[in-house]
Amino acid sequence: MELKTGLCCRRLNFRWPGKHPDEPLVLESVEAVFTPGTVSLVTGDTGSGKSTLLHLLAGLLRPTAGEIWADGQPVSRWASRHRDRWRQQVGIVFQHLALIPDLTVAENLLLPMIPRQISWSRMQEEILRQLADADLSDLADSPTSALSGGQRQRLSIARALVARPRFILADEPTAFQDDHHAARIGRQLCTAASEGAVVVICSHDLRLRSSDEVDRRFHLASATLTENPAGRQPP
Amino acid sequence: MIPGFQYPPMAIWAARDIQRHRGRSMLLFASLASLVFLTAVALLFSQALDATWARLMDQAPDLVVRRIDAGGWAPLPVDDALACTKNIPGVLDPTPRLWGVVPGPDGPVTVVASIAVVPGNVLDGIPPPSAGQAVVGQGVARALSNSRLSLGGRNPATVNVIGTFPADTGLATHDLVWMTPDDARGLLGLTPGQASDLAIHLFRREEEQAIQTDLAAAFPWPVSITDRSTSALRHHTRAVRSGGIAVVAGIPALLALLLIITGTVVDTTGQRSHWGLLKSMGWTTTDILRLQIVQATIVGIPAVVMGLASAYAVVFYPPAAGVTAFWITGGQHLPAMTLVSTGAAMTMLEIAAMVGLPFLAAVFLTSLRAAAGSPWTMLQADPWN
Repeated sequence: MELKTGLCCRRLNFRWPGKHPDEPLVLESVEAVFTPGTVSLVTGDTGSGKSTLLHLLAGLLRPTAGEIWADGQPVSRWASRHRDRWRQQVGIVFQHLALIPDLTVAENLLLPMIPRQISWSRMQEEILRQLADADLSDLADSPTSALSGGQRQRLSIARALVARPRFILADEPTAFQDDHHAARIGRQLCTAASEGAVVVICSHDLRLRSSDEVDRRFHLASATLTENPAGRQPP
Repeated sequence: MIPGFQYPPMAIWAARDIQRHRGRSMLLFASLASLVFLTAVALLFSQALDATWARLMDQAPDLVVRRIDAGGWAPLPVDDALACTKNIPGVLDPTPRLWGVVPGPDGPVTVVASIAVVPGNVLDGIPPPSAGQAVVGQGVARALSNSRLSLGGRNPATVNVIGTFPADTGLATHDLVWMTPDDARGLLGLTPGQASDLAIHLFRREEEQAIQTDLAAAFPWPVSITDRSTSALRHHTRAVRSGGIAVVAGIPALLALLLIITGTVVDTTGQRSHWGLLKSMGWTTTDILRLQIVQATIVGIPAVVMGLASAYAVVFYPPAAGVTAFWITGGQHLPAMTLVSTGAAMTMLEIAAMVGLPFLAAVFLTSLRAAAGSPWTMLQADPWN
C-alpha cells in the first residue's frame, strides 16, 4: 500500500549508468515519505548524493532499483512522455541555477508557464507576485546576466515557484544569500508548503538547519537517508 | 491551424526565440529564400515560355503544306495548290505564303512577305514596308550598323530598314525580315504565281491529324504537312526541358544544403541543454516540437514568399527578365514572358510544397531526435555545468 499523497521513496537504489556493479551505490534502500504541507530538509556531506536524490524525485533520473511514488502514482516507472507531462507538477531549483542569461528576469519566469496553457493575464499576475516575493520587482526587464549571484538564486527559486507546483525541490537555495534573504526564502518555501505543496530542500546551510520553517530533517550519509527525529538541529 | 499558433504564448515565445538567435534565423531565412528563388525561377521560366509560345501559336495556321522534291523544298504553284484544297471538307481559307531563309549580315534570317506567316497580333500597329524597305526583328536589327540591310539569296538585295518588331514578340520575330512580295520573290528566286507554302485553317482544329491524309492525297506532288500541335509540342518540350534540367540538377543539391543547414541550426549542443532545462520545467517533447515547428513556420513562410516574389519579378518584369532569360538559355533572345495566372499559381504552390514540406520534415526530425532524450542527459551538455 502506497501513500496517497506526497512523494514517497521506496527501497530506492541509484548507481550512475555505466558504473561497475561492484562500485558502491550513490543511494541505497532509501525509504522516505515527503508529505504535503511540510518542509523537509536533507543534509549531508558534499558528494553524498543530495542533488542526485532531488533529481530522482524530480523525474530527471530513473532509479537503478526501487520506486518513487507521487500522490499515489509510481512515476519512476512511467514512460518518458508521461513523466514529461507529470514534471509540470514539479518546481526545481538547481544548484547551478540553470538560468538563461540572455533572457530578462521576467522571461525566465515565463518559461515554465508556457506549456501549462495558462492565460496571459494569469501569467503576468504570477510573475509579478514572484518578482515581489523574490525582491526582484525592479529588475524584471534586466537581463539575467546582469544580476548578482544572490539575485540569480532568488530568480531561480521564483522560477520554481511561479507555476505553483505541487512538488518543490530546491538544491542549496540559500547558498548565495545574506541572512535577510535566506530567511525570506525560508518563508517563501514555508508558505508554498502551507498551500499544500511538498517541499524538499537539500542544503548545507546552517541557517536552514536551524530554521523554524523546516518541519522535518533528514541526513544522507553512506548512501543511506535517515530522518533526524530530534527536529531542529543546533547551528 | 499549425499546432502552437492556437495558443498565443507558444507563438509569441517562438518569435522571441527567433529574435534571440538572429544570426541562425537569418541564415535559415536566406537559405530557404534562395532555394525557393532558384527553383521558382527555373520552373516559372519554363512555364512562362510554354505559355508565351502557346499565345503566339494561337493565331498560327492549323496546317502548313510545303511542296518537296528530291532537292528539298520546292516552290508551290499557287493556283494549282488552291484548287487541290478546294474540295477537302473542313479546310478553311487556304493562304499561299511567301517566305524563306536567306543569308543575312549576321547569319541566316527569315524573309517574309505575307502577313500570314506570322500571327496577325504581332504585326498590329506596324506600317507595312514598301518596295526596297523592310521591317526586321530585334536579332536582325542588332546586327545592323545603319539602316541598310544586305541580304543574300538567289538574287542578293539591299533594303532600307524602316522599323523593328516589338521585343515582346521576339519568340516569333527574332530573325524576321518583312518586305514586299516582289522583293521577297526576288530574293527567294520565286516567280509570280509561286509561293513558299500554303497555310490552312481548319473548321475543326481537332481534325488536324485526320485531315492530313486527305490533304497529302489531294496534291499531285509530294508535300510535307506540319500541324500546330507538333510545332507547339516541340516548343513545349524545350520549355519543359529547360525547367526540368534545372530542377533535376539543382534541387537535390539545394535540398541537401537545406537539410544540413536545418540540422546545424536546430540541433546544437546549446540548444539541447536549453531543451533539457525546458523539460525539467514541465515542457514535453511535443511542446518542444511544437515550438520548433512554429519557429520554422515564422521563418519559413516569409522566406518562401520572398523567394517566390523575387522569382516572379525576375521572370516577368524587365529588365531583370532579360537577365534571367540570358542566364537560363545561355544568351538566346526571348520575348517578354506571358503570365498565365493559374499556371504560375500552380507552379508557385508546387515550389512552396517542394521546399516547405522537406524543410518542415527536417525541422521535425532533427528536433525530435534532439528533444526526445532524457532531460538530465540533455542538461549535462550545457554551459552551466
